[in-house]
Amino acid sequence: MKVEELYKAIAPKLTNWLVASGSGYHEACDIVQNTFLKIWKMRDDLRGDAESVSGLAFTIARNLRKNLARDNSRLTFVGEIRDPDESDDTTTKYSAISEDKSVHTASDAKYLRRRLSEAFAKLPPILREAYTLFQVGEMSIHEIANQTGVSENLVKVRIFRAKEKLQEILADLRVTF
Amino acid sequence: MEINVNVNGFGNMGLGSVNADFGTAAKPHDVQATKSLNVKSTAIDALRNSEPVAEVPDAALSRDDALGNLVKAAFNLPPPAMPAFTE
Repeated sequence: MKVEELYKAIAPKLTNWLVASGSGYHEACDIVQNTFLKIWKMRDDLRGDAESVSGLAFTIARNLRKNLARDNSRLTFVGEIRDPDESDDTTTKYSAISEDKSVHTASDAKYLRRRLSEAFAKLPPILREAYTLFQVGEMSIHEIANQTGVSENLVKVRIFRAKEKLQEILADLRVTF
Repeated sequence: MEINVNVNGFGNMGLGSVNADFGTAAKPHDVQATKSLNVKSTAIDALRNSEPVAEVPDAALSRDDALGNLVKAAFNLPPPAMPAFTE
């Protein structure tokens, strides 16, 4: 598989996962690009299918982010999206998910991102990691177990507990969970 | 010396905690008793923080439930432009 094809398949979910797990959007973009530059340099040694490359990409991205945090101590999980393009308008009201369960406007998505980021920040790190890898990173239970070094059963339990806690925290969104 | 012992349940785990108030005048045997209580407390904390692994039905792990749809709607950001892969 060409690196370009891998990029198209993996970069969107990797970007979203980085943002969901605490990075600002621009930092996430930098990490994604650097991750794929590394993968491209390793292209002759890449073995396996897209799934295993996806796991590799998440591992590289996670390490790059750790290095960034260590180098400049700027990564802190503060439960908000540090995207300079986004306004600080906190008065935007979530207009309740409409009957067809879709989100209509960009401000709805922004508000949701803020609320969800705050909710993720309240989760214990191991639950947050399992849930965001599963839901946002679109990884399988098997991949998450490999990434985190725990059994598949434990990954399932962590995701289940994360969902329970998130539903509790987000109860005011008036969505029937 | 007044000793108050309270046993409180921890939800469905059925564990108990013991809190003892030995007052202000601690004596050697009081210290011994406190150490003993600390050991029990540590063991209870370890149990509380352990992660019992149970079977979770696959249906409970759907990505397409209401919460999953919220997350999908919120985290749908465009990826960065693909870098130029050149030597």
